[in-house]
Formats: sequence, structure tokens, C-alpha cells
Amino acid sequence: MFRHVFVSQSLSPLKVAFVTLLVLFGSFGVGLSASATGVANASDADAAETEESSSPIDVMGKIADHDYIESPFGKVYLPRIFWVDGQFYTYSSTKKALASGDFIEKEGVIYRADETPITIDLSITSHLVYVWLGFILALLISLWAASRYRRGIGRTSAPKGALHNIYEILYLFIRDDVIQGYIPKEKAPRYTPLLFSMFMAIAFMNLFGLLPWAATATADLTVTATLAFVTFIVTQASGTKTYWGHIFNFPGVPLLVKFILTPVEILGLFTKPLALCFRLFANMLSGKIMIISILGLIFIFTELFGATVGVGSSVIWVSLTAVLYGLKVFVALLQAYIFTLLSAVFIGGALEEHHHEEHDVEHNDVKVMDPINA
Amino acid sequence: MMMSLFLAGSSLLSFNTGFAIWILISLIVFLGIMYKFALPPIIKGIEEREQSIQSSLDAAEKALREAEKISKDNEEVVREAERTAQSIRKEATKEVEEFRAERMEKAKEEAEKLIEDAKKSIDQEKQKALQELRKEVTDLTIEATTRLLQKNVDSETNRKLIDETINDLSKN
Amino acid sequence: MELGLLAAGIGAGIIAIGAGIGIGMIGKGAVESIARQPEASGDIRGAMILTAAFIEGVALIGAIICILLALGVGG
Repeated sequence: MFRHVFVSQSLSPLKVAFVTLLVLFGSFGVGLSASATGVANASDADAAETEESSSPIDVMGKIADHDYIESPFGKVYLPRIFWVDGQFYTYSSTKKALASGDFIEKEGVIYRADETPITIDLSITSHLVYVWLGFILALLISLWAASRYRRGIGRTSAPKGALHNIYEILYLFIRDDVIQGYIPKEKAPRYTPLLFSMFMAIAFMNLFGLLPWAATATADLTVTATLAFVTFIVTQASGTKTYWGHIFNFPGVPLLVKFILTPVEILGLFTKPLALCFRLFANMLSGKIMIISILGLIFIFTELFGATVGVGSSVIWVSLTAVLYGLKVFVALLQAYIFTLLSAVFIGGALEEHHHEEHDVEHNDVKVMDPINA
Repeated sequence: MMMSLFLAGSSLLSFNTGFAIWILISLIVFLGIMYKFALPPIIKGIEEREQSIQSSLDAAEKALREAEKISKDNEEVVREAERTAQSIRKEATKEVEEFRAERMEKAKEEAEKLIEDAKKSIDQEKQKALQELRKEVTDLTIEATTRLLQKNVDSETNRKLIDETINDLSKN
Repeated sequence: MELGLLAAGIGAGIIAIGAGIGIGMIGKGAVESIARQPEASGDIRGAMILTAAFIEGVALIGAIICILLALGVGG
């Protein structure tokens, strides 16, 4: 059906995009109202929480990790896996875990029945599901492209079809502009698969966050920290003698300065991936919060000034959201690009074999001093 | 309520170890499949295509250069042929000239020789004629003188005298 | 309590000013250099995004601190 829509000439891509956006926003509204009613139900059950969440929409609930995934057809509860004192406990959902009697809930935290805190919570969460979805989509598209290349399309002839072309453009962009621009050319092929895979995975995770009911996996600090950790490990593993020399024994400075410089350099080792993870996290999070907040204004206005004003003002908020959505698509790809770019820059910096500056300075000094001596 | 259960464990800025372990495992699996199955054909395919494009470009350039070289060679050959033709013509002309000059020389020599011979034979004839004439004149003179003097003169003495006279004459 | 939220808000505003000035200067420099040397626009764009990303990183760390403040006080 979609193929038919895209092929037919009477519908321009712009129109299709508009209709798609309308459908998406429609389901977003449904999701929001569902969560609003969910909060209302919860407040019925627990009077104390009614005071806490007086806001009609739950912004934090939309961006936080959950033990269920929201779908257009309702919530799907995910299995819980706990590891307590060297013992595994698996349940199909949180409710089952509590119903089994092995676990109790105290002030929002789950403990084992004997009140031992959970050592490691290995539960499948909504963000994990979207991480997997991002990986799987990246894998599927890559495997599909690989099968095409294996068949010879793109290898002996030009790539065919929009998806194949986009894939190849992305690959060539990452390889030529991002990786080979910052990593020495003879070593670049070693890092191309890693960085391209990371780019694809992050891009798909970011783009999944654009679905109204979906969670943005990259708006979770754990996800971005793990990704940055991989970059960190790869960077340190590929560090050359020059790189380590610059950290622990900066060439060309007096000993006293080295005592100050080395801690700074060691600190810089960790701040770089930290900034990398915070950048992606904060960018994706802020986009999500902004969209939810702006759409939430409809409900806030409804509560404050009545349904007429709320619905009437929704024209402004929805059009603003449409603009923001366009921006978010751009930001989703841009952040994936920036993550890959900075990873390449860090790895390239670690791979640097020879530092030219000191030598140049030394040569200049010699040149300057010679005429004076002469 | 369920949400709050989870939120307490993982608020906005907290790091969830179990989640990180899951991500790390999935990331390793993902990267493993990408490295093993997905990316090699893509990387190799694109590289192969780039190489084939590069090699065909190189081949085209090489062919162009070769064609240029061939045309230059052809030009050279044509010029060489022209030069050879020119030199052959020049040589032929020279030979012909030489031949003609030689023939002329020979002809001249022959003609001169002929003239010389003719002159020689004329001289001889002239000498001969002169001698004959002298003899005739001498004879005639003797006869005439004999007729004139008859007995008077000894024929021997007279002959001597007349010979001297004729010799004087011939000297003149 | 309210003062903590106020601090978070003011902090976020100052971060926005600082990052805005920084990224604006980068953009200005980049656009000027591209206008002067259009053939080097690719390199300039790469350097611009890289530098902007570094500024953004600093700004985001500040923003995270503001969120922490707001959550620690209000949430």
C-alpha cells in the first residue's frame, strides 16, 4: 500500500510526509491522553501521588526508562531479571515478580523479600528494547546491502534504488569525510567498520525516538555512556608511544610543569568520552522534552482556561511541533555524525605517531640563534 | 505506580549497571555480526568498484596516451618518408646532373680530340703537300732553269743553289 | 527550595548566553571564511562543526548541572 502511495505521481512526497506527520501526531495525542488518564488512575489509587503529579502530562514518565513499552495498541510489559547475591530471578513482568512473593516494593524501590537490595538489575527495559531495535534495523539494512553487493549490484555496477544509494552515500561520507579526515589513511580501514556501525546504530536509535510512542534510547545516560566507553577503550587500545608520552611525560617542558600537566592530561583522558556521552544524551533528551512540553501546553491550557482555549491554541503548538520535528530529524542524524566524528578525532589523536611542533620549534631556535652566535 | 517503581532505580542521570551490561553484550553481538557478515562484502564491494573505476580511468588515460603516441609516431613516419623522398629526389637530380656534366665533358673532350686529330692530319697533309709542292717547285725550277741555262750550268751546282734559294723562301 | 530552582533557571540562561555567543562567533568566522574561500568550504564546515561540538559539550555539562539542581530541589 505504501509502495503504491509513493509510486503514484499525483501525491507529492511533501503531501505524503504531511499526512504521515498528521498520523504520527494523532497517535502521539492518543499516547499522551493515555498517559494522562494513567496518571489520573494512579492518583485514584494513591492519594499521596495526586499531590505530586498535578501536571496533566508526565514529562519525566515519557523520557524515563520503563518496565513496559508503549505501542499504538497499549502497554506491553517486559520481563524482569534480577541478580541478587549470586542468584538469578526471572519474571515475565514486574507484577508477576511482586505477586510471587519473592520481591517486595518499598518507596518505589524493589527489594528481595528479605529486604536485600538487588545487586544487578538485568531487566529488559523499554530503552533496551529500542537499543535492540536500533541495532537490528542497522543490521538488517547492512545485511540487505551486503547481499546486494555480494550479488554484484554496486560492486560491478552502480548501486540501484534509493535505499541502496542512501546507504552507500552514508558509508562513503563516514569513510571519506569523517574517518579518513581524522585518522591516518593507512590505519583508517581498521576503524571504518566500528565507527560506521556505531554511526548506523546511533542514527537508528535517534530516529526511533521520533516515533511518538517510542522511547529514545540515546536519551538515556546509560546507553550513551556505554557507547562512549567503547570509544574510550578503542582510543586507549590504539594509543601509540607518542600519545602516552604526551600524557605522562610531555616532551619539551620542565619537570615542575610536568607535575601539573600530567594530572590535567589524565583528566582530559576521561573528560573527552564523558563530554561525548553527555552531548548525545542531552541533545536527544532536550529534543524529547521540548516536544512533550510544547504539546503538553495544550493540556495545561485546557486545565487552566478551559477546553476551548486549549483546543484553539493547539493549532499553534502542533505547527510548532511540526517545525521542531523537522529539526529533530536533522539533529538525530547530526548527533550520530558528531558522535562518530569525535570518536574518529579521539582515535586519530591517539594514533598520532610523531609530533612535528617541537621539532619545528627546535629548528627555528637553532636558526635564530646561529646568526647571533656567528 | 509501576513507572515510579522503575524511576526510583534509574532517575534521569543515574547509571544502571545491569542495563549497561545488556547494552555492552548487545553491542558486542551487533558489532560482531557487522564485522563478520554485513560489512566485509560492502567494504570490499565498494572498494572493488572504486578500483575498477580507477583502473578503467587509468586504462582510458593510458589508451589516450598510446593513441597520441601512435599518431605522433605516424606523423614521424610520414615526415621521415617525406624526408627520404626528398633526399632521393635530390640525389637523383644530383646524379643526373653529374651524369650530364660527365657526358658533356666527355663529349667536349672527344670533340677536342677530334679537332686535334683533324688539325694534326691537316698539318701532316699540309707538310706533305708542302714537301710535295717544294719538290714540284724544285723540279719545275730545275727544269725551267735547265731550259734556261741548258749547258751553262752544271746541274749539280745549280740544284744546290736553287735548293738554298727555296729554303730561304720557305723560311720566309 | 524555590531558590534552588531559580538558580537552575538562571544557570541555564547564562549557559545559553555563553554557548550562543561562542557558536555565533564560530558561525560568523566560518561563513566569512567560506565567503572568502568558497573552494575550502568542506574543510571549514568540518572544523566548524567540530568546534561547535566542543562548545556544546561544555554548555551541556552546565545544563546537566542545572537539571541536577532542579531535580535535586524540585523533584
